Amino acid sequence: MMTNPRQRIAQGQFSFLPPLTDVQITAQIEFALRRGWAVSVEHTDDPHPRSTYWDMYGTPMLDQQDPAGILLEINACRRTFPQHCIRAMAFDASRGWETPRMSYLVNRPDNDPGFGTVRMETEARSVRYTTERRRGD
Amino acid sequence: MDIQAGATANLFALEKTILARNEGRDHPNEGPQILQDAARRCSPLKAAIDTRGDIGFNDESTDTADFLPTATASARAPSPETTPP
Repeated sequence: MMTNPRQRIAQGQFSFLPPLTDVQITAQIEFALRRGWAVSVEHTDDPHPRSTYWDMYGTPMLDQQDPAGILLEINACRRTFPQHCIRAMAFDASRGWETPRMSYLVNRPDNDPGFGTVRMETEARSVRYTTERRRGD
Repeated sequence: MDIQAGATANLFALEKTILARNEGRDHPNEGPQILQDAARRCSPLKAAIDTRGDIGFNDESTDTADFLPTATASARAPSPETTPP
């Protein structure tokens, strides 16, 4: 099923690629910082597509201009939550509010069965669909 | 190859191109090279490039008139007698 073709969740950017190396992550952070976007690190144990808001790791890094400092935070988050999904996000404040510009996963749990579509027959022959976490192997 | 392989190839190619653009590469000019490099890591993309890599998709438009207009009695230019003053 396309929701999880290789038994990995696909969210944000670059989720069909092999896991990004630290060098690649740093290059993406530099790209965001050059444009004046603030990069943050977030993690969750429930990467359901509907759970938009993840837990923020550490303090906001609104003034952090050093990619190495952000990579340090990412690696600290990886050590703290090795089995969580961790994403790096870049926010653009140039329009007066924080707009998400980038979001990419930098850590995945070892065993990630992903999500599947569940179909339910309801009244009057209508059918409802929902996205549900698959059971692990 | 099925639909899913095509979707995977497309997404892989798109994400790899965006990644390369963000890393500072000149993706409009280096695009074919970026995709060739990407295809080494993704077999559906490799199959897609092997099949359709050389096709330019810049064919002549088929949305053109395929008939020649011929004068008919009603479409003929009005004769001087019928032209209103």
